[in-house]
Amino acid sequence: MRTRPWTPWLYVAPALLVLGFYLVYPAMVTIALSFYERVPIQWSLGDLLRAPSCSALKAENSPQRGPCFAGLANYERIFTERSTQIALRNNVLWLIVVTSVTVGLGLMLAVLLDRVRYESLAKSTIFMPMAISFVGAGIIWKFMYAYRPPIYPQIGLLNALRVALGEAPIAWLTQAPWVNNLALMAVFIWIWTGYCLVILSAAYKGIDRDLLEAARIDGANEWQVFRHVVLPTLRSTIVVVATTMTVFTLKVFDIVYVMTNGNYETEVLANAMYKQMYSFWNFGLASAIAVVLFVAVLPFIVINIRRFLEQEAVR
Amino acid sequence: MAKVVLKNVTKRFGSLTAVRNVSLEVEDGEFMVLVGPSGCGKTTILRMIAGLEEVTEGEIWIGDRLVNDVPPKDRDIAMVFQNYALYPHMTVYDNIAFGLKLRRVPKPEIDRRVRQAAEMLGIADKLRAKPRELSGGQRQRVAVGRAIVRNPKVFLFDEPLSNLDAKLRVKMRAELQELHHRLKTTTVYVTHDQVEAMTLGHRVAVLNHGVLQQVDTPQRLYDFPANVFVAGFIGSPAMNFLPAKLTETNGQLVAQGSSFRFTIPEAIAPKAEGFLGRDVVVGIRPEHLQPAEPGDDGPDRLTIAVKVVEPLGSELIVYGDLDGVEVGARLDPSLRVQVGDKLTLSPQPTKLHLFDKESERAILHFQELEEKAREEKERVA
Repeated sequence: MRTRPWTPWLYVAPALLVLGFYLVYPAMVTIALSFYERVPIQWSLGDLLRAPSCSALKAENSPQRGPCFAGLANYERIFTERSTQIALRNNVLWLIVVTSVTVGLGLMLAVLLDRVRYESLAKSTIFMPMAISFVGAGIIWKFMYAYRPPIYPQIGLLNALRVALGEAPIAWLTQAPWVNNLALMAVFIWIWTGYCLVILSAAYKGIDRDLLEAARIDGANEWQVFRHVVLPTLRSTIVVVATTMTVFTLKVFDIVYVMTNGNYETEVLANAMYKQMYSFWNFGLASAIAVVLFVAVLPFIVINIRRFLEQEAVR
Repeated sequence: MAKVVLKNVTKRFGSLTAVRNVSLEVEDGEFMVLVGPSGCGKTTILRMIAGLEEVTEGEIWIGDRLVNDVPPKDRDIAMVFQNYALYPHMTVYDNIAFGLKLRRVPKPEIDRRVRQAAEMLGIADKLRAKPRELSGGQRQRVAVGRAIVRNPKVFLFDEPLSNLDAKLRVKMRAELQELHHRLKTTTVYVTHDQVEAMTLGHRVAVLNHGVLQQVDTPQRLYDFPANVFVAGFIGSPAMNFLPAKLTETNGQLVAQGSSFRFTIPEAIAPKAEGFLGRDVVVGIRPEHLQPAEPGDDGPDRLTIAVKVVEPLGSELIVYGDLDGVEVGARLDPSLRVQVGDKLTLSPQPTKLHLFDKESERAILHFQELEEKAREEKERVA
């Protein structure tokens, strides 16, 4: 059959249209909005194009309402205002702690559980939290972390344990910045470690057993087998899991929203964005935060796609 | 260099017994081949010597050390795997050097030994390549290099040639033989291929269903198989087995079959006397059958109805039916024979074997006649 040069495009067109409509267009609009201030709920492209410069309006002390062009002012605010600075700091913290702990723990469990008799049972148990919605998980853990002043009986499991052991209860979710942020991260780790475990375990099981035995006979102890044979063999899988976890972590929202709503220095970018958008109707700043998040995630997506293409090329 | 000794070794996986009470001594510098059909326990024995499987019962000694509880890394052994098990992320050089690096051998010494091994195996120009860039034969050489570079007490080979094509296998077989001749390291070699076993082994241990059947030199396995299994496993095409009954005629022991009768020579008859009146199996190898002279119809002639003719150029393999039993013969290719022909075969009188049908153990080998004759000759001389 003869194929016209445009025939493939015909097949791709629906997907391109849908993606363009739901992804590319909103992204462009978000980027555009991030350069404006005082954007009303009902705005039009014409309003934006005709909008005067904010600095000019301010200089004139003009009473004019409606959108104004702010240039990079929104971005400046993100990096200079205390609340968003905290969000930025926390996102970096989350990225470092959560990604390394989920991937590290997942890898460790994958290797250790391989030697356990009830492996599938243990794996299912660890994977189970994945089935719970993040909001649900947040509520469950709010109970775990619940705190009441020492004169009352503790209803939170962790504090009840502490009191039973003769310790003072801790206000897990308000003690900033380490205790409460780590407490929130623990929930995220609790949910996602199972995911890392399942993928890494599958990759670990794909390693030829003879390879490990050859290393043992070559004189390697278990740590050396892991370090010199298992780790290099799993490298590409670890990279994929780690970048995926990085992206998930950067986008963290539900847990923070449900458990502290960003109070007590637990703010993260996604929650800050939500607040700016729906609490303060500050479309410009919210859009700018969205763009910052997008740019932060981009490199990891690129790494993942590159790896995917490499794999395809090998095939 | 060391002896490897197995004392009453048994291995059970749950309710399955993979190796049953095996005792075996591999002498210092000996090339011992473990051979048997798949599932016979030969690989399990090798893995127990390597320390990759625990011994359920019994003892394994390497040199003068009991190694039952010694981990593989401390046994000073090297193993070559069937699929080579090369580290895919390392170069050939690093693959070979890995064991030395772990043992903290000084760098210049590592370099010297790796290059020497690579030179010996003809892979010196491949040291920077990754395993996936190599052909099967080259990978095999790297795997061997990884083993010899450490200069271990014992080499263990687990079917190392079975992933190679037929031509390369023959070449590598010869190379391994040469290598052993040069290094003289105690070697235990597992294969299911009896030709490999016969060509490589100083001695061959034949296994079946986890039980050691016989350990001996290749030639003695061929000449004096201990039972029906060994007789049928060693040699190709396989030995013919003819059912018979041991009776006495005119004061002589005879194996009486459906249409044939073999007289047991008096010199070796005493061994068979206890089996008088019992069912026996007469074994005769295809290469020990020749066409009978025309008109010769002695009682030990076998007349078969030819069913299959396989001309191989150098020889002619003929399969035929003798009263419901299949009989194969390896004949001269100049013989003209067709499917459907009646063919009368005459066995070489000193090449018969007699087995007890019930226990399947060998009763006697007519080959002993030749031994006795030789001894006699030597005594006279």
